[in-house]
Amino acid sequence: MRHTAIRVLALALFATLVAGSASAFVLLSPARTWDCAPNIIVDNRGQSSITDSDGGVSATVSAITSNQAWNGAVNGVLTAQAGSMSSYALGDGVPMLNFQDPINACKGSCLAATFIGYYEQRSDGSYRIFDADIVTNGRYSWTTQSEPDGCSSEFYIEGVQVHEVGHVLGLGHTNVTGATMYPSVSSCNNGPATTENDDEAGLQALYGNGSFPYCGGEPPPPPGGCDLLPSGASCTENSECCSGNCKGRPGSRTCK
Amino acid sequence: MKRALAVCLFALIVAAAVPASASIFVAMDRAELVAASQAVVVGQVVGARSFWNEDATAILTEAVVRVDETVAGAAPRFVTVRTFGGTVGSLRIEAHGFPTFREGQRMVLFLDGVGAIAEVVGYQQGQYRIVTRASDGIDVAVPSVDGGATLVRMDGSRAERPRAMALSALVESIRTAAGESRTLQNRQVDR
Repeated sequence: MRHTAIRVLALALFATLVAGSASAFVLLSPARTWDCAPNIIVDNRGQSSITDSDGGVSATVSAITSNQAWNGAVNGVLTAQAGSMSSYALGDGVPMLNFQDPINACKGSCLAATFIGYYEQRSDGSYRIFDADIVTNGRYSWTTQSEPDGCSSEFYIEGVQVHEVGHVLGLGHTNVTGATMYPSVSSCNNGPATTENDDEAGLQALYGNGSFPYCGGEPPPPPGGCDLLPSGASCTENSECCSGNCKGRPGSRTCK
Repeated sequence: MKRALAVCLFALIVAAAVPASASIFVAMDRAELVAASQAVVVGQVVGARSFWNEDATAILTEAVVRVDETVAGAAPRFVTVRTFGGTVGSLRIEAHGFPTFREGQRMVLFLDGVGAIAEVVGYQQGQYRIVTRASDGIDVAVPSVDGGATLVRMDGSRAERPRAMALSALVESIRTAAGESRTLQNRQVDR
């Protein structure tokens, strides 16, 4: 009897681990999306430790907009361009990726920090992101795939920033090893620059096919008039959701 | 039998726990934290306020901490500690992986800049919250490091997250690390 119970629990543990590794993307809580595809301004000064032609600016813009990354999962989910950081401010509605740290927040042991607290509730109960900003610590050595001298105990700016932009778009950390949103960075490993199935499933859960229904104003109620919470909104019980399906762990449950 | 069940249930809970967001930090072990700190204190947050910085580019939070015990270094009776993030009006800035403060919280803090506005060394790595265990009344130091922080080592390997321990054990290990750090500094001066 005793051994049987232990075997059953061990099996349950194994099943949990297997299920967890199969699909484990995590959305920020509460689940939130941009109304329209964000246009991320990438610091046109570049990163001083990067010795490619423009300090990693083109490499970063290219990596975060690549079809190997988020735009491959949801077509047109973001755009990016090089630009000035002179108006850099948290909470101003302009998402920026800064190669320096004008607010002096990321120093010492901090490599890169993303500020993602800017969101508000829409009238239908879902949440909109209205700003997110990234800063990086120039004290550490960064590199790109196009650096002529290769990589030596450096961090690839492409991989780190594709990961951080995942947070900008509304994704949390996954427990799927090898995924871009896995919370681990290896020096001289640019794997995170290419998204994996788990990352793509997470982004699609937020943005579907990339139609951005809230862009240009909130959409009219759907035919049939469900005025309950839509897919992705935070919920506490099934009766709050249009789908009638409120799933997740207590404190971070969302309508499916 | 109960023990086996408890172990399995604990493992299930751990397996289900998934971290949930954003910034990247180089891991610091206890000796590195102590060496980088002007003071390590045990104290209680007696006040906290959030405000926009002068340039209106970021929300900061300053907490006043009453120092109940100085474990290493030297600190005044009250220390003002600053961190990024907080809420002003309807706007909330979450600086993931950064220390946070709430009035009434007891904590162990590794501090730099205690002569003016102090900062926590190593971000969340330098902050432990103190919780009194209901079953035996023992104070436990719980690391603040949460899912918002990704810790890395400079060689690229993934770092171990700090673990909760009895406050007395943490204090003892800090004192040991501080003693070793002082010995090392003296040796370097002797040379």
